[in-house]
Amino acid sequence: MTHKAKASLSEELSWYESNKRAWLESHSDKFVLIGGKTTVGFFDSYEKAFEAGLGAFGIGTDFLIKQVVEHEPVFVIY
Amino acid sequence: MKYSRSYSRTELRRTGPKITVTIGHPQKAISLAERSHVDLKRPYKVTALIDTGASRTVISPQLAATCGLQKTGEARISSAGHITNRPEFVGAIHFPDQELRSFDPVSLVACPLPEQDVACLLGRDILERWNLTYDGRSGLVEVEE
Repeated sequence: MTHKAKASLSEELSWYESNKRAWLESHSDKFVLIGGKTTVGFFDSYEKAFEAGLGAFGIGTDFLIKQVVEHEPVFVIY
Repeated sequence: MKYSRSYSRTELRRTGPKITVTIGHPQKAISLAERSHVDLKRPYKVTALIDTGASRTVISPQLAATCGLQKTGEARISSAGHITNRPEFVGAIHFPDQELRSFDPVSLVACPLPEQDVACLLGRDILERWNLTYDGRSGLVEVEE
């Protein structure tokens, strides 16, 4: 199957950016789970957020999992 | 000892330590799909490079599409001197015919890879769970958990 066509997660990323400042105060380093403009919750790990995402949105719908950090890390690959 | 492979010194220097992995959906997604009578794409077996130089585990975009993985975000990636946003997918990594434990679920970044025969780089997010021994003199590579 293919996942529903929200391939860019742009709505969720915009929602994250618009709330990031407040969340840094209250949920720094937690993993936030977002679908559309709905904030499902904050979790201690990516794994727990994913499990909650499956419960909230089911299979086949993309959702955003993002760690709440002030500066977005740059991961060096090669 | 969970994983051990011997190379010639020349081969190890030329190719680096490689391991066969299977990339697929997380077990929780598979279970939910079965209960929902939804078909997911099957896992895919590829060659991975154990890469201490990679801070994250990376798969090729083609592999992400082949496996039909679910996107969960974006990551800023520095590769070949350029910083770009790359999609993150949730998946699972298994080690067929090895005693190594699976990573399930795991976040995977999709990024074009320079080596055609390598579709996955096992980065330091995986290596933080392993004790990796690289003996360049004997060509022996070992992994302990």
